[in-house]
Amino acid sequence: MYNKFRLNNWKDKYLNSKISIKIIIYFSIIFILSTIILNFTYNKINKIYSLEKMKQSSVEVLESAEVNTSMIIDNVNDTSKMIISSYNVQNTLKKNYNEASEYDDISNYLIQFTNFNSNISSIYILDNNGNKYYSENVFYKNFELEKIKSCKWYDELLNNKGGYILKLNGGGFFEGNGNNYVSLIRVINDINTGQKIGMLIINIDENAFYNLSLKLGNQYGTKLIIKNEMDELIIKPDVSIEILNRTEKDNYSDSKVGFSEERVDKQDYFISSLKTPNYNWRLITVMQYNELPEQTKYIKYFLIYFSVINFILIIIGSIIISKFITKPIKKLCESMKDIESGEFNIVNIKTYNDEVGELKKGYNIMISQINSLLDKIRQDEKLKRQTELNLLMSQIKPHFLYNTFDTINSLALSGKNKTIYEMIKALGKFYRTSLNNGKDIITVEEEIKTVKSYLIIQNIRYQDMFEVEYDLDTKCSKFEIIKLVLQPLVENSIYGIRDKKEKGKIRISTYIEKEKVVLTLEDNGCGMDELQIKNIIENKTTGIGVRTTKERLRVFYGEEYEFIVQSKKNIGTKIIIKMPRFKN
Amino acid sequence: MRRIFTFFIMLILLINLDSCSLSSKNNIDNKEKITLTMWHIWSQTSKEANGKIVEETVEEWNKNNPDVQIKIETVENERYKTKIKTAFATNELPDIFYSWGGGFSKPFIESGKVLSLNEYLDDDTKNRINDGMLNNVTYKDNIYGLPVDLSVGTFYCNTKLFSEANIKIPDNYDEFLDAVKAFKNKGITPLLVGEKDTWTGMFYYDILALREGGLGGPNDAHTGTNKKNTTLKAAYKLKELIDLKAFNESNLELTRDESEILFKQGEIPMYYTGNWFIGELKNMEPSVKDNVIVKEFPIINGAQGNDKEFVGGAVDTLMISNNSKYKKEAVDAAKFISETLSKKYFEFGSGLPAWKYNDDKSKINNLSEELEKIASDASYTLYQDIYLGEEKGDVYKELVHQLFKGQINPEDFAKQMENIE
Repeated sequence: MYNKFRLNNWKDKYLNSKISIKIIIYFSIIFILSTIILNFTYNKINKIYSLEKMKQSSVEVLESAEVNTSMIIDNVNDTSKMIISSYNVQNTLKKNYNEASEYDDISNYLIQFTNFNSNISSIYILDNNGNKYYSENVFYKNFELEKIKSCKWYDELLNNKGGYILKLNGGGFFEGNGNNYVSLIRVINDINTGQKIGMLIINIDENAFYNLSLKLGNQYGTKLIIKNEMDELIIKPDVSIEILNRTEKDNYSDSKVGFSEERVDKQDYFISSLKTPNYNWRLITVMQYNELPEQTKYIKYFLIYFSVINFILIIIGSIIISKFITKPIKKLCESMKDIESGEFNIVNIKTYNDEVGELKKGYNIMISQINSLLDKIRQDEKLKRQTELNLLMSQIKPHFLYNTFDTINSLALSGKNKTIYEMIKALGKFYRTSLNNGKDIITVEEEIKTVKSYLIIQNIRYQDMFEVEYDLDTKCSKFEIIKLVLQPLVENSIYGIRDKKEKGKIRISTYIEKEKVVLTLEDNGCGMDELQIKNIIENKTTGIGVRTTKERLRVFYGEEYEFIVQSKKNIGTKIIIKMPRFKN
Repeated sequence: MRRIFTFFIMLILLINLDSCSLSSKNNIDNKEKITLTMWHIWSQTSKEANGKIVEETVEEWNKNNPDVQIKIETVENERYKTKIKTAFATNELPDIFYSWGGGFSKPFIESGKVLSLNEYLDDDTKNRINDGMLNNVTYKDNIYGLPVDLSVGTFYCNTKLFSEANIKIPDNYDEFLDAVKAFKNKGITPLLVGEKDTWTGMFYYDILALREGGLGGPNDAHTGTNKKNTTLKAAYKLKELIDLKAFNESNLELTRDESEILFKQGEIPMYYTGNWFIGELKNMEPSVKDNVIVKEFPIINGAQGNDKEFVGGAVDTLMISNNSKYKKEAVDAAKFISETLSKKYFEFGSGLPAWKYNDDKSKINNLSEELEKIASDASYTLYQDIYLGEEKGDVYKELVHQLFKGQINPEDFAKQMENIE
């Protein structure tokens, strides 16, 4: 919960930071991740590879050590067989007594081996009575047959029926003067009868095995340890006791060579061991992990340098990239600051044809649109005020009022009270509805009423110069429209009829068409020529009535109204106005 | 979120990479070939054909059994004895080894270092071996070896020399002595021996003792109650031949190989030795080869022996070490090799078959076939040195050698022979 919160916190911090910071962070994370993965992979692969190499190398070392060890032992074994099969030895031992001459014979015979076989340091032959024959390079150790018989390995020796056993320092007999010996011990049997006639001990100098280990390649600091079946060390290079302890473990699976990895004193060791099949010795190699070949070290250094340089380059690169992006954006931002003070100015900085350039272009288009819209709104407002003024002027219509009063005067003189009454009543109605408390919006019904009152007054004044026909759809009566749409046009119709000097006819109709209310006004007055019609359509007409009406419609309804004029000279005029439902 | 996800995926991939690499390549040489060591005496260095036959037979086995390969070590006869005895004394007998039946192998068997084959030989195998051929490798009712061939002492006569000298090929000992004397008079050495190899002279003593004492009776030279008498008589007979200078003059200086050249060159009319000599006749001049016949050794009138008695028997044998790691494989190989050798030696002429021979008889060497006929329903007495075993046998051969050298008289010889046992 807390973590998630913190994570979100970080995320917010990241998302709210500047783009240049974001880019740097993003690249750094990617770079660090990839460097870690690269290093990790390299180390893994390298470890696997060098392990494999070490394995191979250790198997080679072990196998060659096995061959060499076997060779030394086989060599001594062969020597022992030569001694045993020697006629001299056989005969002397069989006789069971010791004569000086025979002693010399055998000893001289044995001297050959100690003289010319560097691996053999001493040879001892004992017959069943404890008589000794020997030749030795190093020392003489007094030992007795009875002592040997009480040795632990004596039974083992007898059980081998003449086969040899290998003991370190004769199983304890030759210990004590610093040098180690591997003793090959066997019973001497009569070769004809198989009866035991004596015993043979050949001591192999430990140096024989040391020499062999010296020949091994020093790669990985390989150390060779040889242990016999009792886990006694035949040869021991200078390795710590801790490592020696780790080699105790028997780590053979089914394969001939066993491997293990050990960590001692912060050092990794790779230990391989091999059991010799014939005499159960264990040959063990200890290799050091960190003593990797130079090449690997260099590659590691190179990787580190490479990573550091790369990191620096990436930081610089991301700074430059972010500069490229953020500098024009910053400039853009600064230019846009005027907006806060209400000035819509076009940005005028140098950009290229990139995203920033497009942004600038788009921004400038937007600014010019806004400016033109603002201009239009200002003009419209001006126009609206003008038309309102015009309307007000037309509403008051002083001429209409004078003329009406003149008509009432003459009517009064001729005593036509009833007509006067109607006229004044209509006049009152007309002004009530047309002024309408200053409200702009009225219903169709009210508009028609206003027109009706007006037509009554005019009809009285012009003494029935025209007749009026109404075709009204009651569905339209509650439809709200702006006021005084029809009245100025009706006024024009009356003038047209007056000029024609014929009995006129005016027809007013309302109906609904596709959610729009339609008002039509038809007369059979003098009509208009095409130029006049064109002027009306292009709003160039001088007549205040039509122009003001059209402008008022445009200001209120925008482009949604229709104003259609159909007219022919001396035949009449038809005006159709379609208005949408007024939305406030 | 997604970044963390991909990071984990990469981590998993890397861990997989790690784990899969170490598991491989851990098994170095898993299935090891079995290698069996075999020692025998038919050395390639001597010009004997037997060496080649053994080599071919072993090669055939190695080809058919790639998992069980046989490695050969071979040393000539007398040196082989020291070698095998040393191996025995040091308990390092090879998996399969050649040995001699009878007394020679007795200490080996008694020490328990030789594998008893009882449980490895089924009836089928036993039925394929000729009757009596297991006698010399059976100790206390246990079989310890597989016979390779049957060898018998054979009397060879060069008929050309006989007819040229107009001398009758002897049927009895008197005629034999006459023939010896007649050849001697003509300046031809009648008999051949290469006494530097002491066992060659022993052949003459052995057959004389057999002819004198017969087989199985009280006068039997090996087991008879009256054998001292037989020994004495046989020694006198041999002494007589030596005194007549019936043997080649160089007999003490030549080995068997060297001495046989004289017979092969057609210089010597009579030779008593093993039947393996038939095989070697093949390489001889046709003028000699075609004139050689094989015969029973002449019988002594009035003595116990008859012409159906032979010195010899199935002595050459293959044994298996009890130390062998692959006993079953070793027995199988030994079976194959001994049976094949029995057949091939017979075909070639260097041995009579110890195993039943079922193949086409036309392949068989003529002299071999003839010898087999002569030796059918024969009975055998073992070579004396092998009967006595190695140590006593050596003493015995040395005594015979002294007879040849003229260093001992028949009485002393008989006395010392008695002392050996």
